[in-house]
Amino acid sequence: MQDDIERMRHELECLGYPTVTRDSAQGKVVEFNYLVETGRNSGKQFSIGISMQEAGYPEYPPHWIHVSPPVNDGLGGSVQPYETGDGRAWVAMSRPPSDLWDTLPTKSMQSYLDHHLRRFWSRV
Amino acid sequence: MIHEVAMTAGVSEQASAHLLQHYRKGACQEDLCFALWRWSTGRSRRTGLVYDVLLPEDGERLLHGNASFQPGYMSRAIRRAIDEQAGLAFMHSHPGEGWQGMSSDDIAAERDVLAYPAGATNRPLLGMTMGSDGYWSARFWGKRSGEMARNQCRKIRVIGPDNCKVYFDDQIEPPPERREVLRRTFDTWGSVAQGNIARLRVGIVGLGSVGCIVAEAIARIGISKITLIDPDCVEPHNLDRLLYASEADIGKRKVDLAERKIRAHATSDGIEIVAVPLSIHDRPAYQAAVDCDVLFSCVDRPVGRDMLNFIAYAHLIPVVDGGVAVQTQRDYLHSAHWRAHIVGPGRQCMRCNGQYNTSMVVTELDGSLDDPSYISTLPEEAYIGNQNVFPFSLSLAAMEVNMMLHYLLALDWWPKLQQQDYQFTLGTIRNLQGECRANCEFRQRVALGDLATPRYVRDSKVPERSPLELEPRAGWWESLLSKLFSRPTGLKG
Repeated sequence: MQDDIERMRHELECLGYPTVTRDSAQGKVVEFNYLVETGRNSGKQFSIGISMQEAGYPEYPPHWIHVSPPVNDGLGGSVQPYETGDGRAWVAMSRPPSDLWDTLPTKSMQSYLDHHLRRFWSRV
Repeated sequence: MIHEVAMTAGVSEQASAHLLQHYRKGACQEDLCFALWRWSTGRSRRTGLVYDVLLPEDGERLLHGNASFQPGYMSRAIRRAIDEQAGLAFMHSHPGEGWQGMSSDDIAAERDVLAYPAGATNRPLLGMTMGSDGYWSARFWGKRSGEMARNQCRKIRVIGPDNCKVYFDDQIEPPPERREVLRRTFDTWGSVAQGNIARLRVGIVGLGSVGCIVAEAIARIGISKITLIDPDCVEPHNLDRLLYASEADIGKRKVDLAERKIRAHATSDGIEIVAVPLSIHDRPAYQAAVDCDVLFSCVDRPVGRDMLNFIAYAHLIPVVDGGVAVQTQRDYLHSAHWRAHIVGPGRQCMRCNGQYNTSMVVTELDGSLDDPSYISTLPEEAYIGNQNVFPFSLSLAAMEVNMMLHYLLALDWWPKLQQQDYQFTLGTIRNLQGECRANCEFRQRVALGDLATPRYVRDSKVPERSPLELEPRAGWWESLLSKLFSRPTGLKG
């Protein structure tokens, strides 16, 4: 898992996103600031976290999206609100890219952001 | 540990085209080449997976009725093997049909000339001979008590997209004799095919409604080595579909129940059953599966399917998988269909045919797949409930076993049977074909063997069986003693 997070963190840094890592109930999280480009929150900045269980990224995708301040995409399911030590409110949502990850020609954080995270925000 | 060899049909064809080139033109001329192989290690079997043939370049081998090689050819092959963390295989052709014995010259060449330098790979030398009829035979050469010793292989499996060919050493593993209890089976596909099928080790992963029927079918057709893998116990809701179970079996392990029944129903002369009460991603179960020649995937979870998909390609073990999908709307049966497919090298994998995806694997790994709130968010087409009935399972199990038989028995002119889909409401059956996506990871995993293991494989121990679970295995004399001593004796305390 540590390898997965480290690789995701490295890829995000290469894309120009400064990152930090921390622990959560959903495993180690790589956290970065993200400027939303689609949906009702377009133009706003959120803190995003990504985490996954041990499997082997990038073959297997991260499926937890953590957002601060919390948002609601209306899908329900596994949604777990929590607070970090610095007092920030978060929500962790299980949102795997089921329909697209295995069909992507290249599996990377670039494609995760371009395809999955953009779509997530278009629903919020 | 028993030793065996496996390779894809592509590798075997490339080698045989070179080794038999002179015989095919009518000349009595042997030939030779080197190849590379990797270990595939199970619980009781080590298989050398041959994955690349290194054909000789100009001047690297000499033909003189027999064939010999120049030292430079051997050095080139050993260097490649070391670079690729592989072992060295030496292949040569030999006039004669069937499994080939070794002449004293052959033994001297492999043992004295090749086996010691091949030790630079930290793996034994694999010697392989191809008869002029294309029949493979093989042995490993490694040090035993300081001496270079031969480890004869039991069989060689050649895994093709359309069929699977198996070459046995009949002296180590003789074919079964025709017996009255199997008369109709022998009469159906003949003694040669029965000899091949009966000597395979067939594994069934998942002893639910489909797996138990598959187990019954393969035990009835005379297969003598069966591996059963399932961590679950019988629950009340299984009783409408689980072939062997009755109310008295609730709480018992499914593998124990299946083992007891198929031991009683098997037609083979000497059934050998390995029962592992663990999930396929527990290491002992994974290793037991790697001992098999064919696997049935009767699981309903994505991690199990991902593991079996991996085994099919990395360890060259064909996997027969299937599933039942039922849609019920407003308390009516809206549609039902079941499909079965075989996956392995040259065939579409389960990830590419849509049987599961990587997102489902990661959600199962963290427990979300058991979370009702998660399941409720899945789109209708993604979530098929657990609706099923015994006749649907019976039909799917028959479809899976028949697909395995088609694959094992197929002559060269039989069409490839990749996937079958039966639509219950329409009453139609379709044969479907497909290929893996260009970026499919499993294309790169063919014959990797022990070099790769899924990251989520868990180190676990096989649980010990409780006396309650072992009770049904007691011999008749134990039952008799038990009955005698449990009778009231008239003594009062």
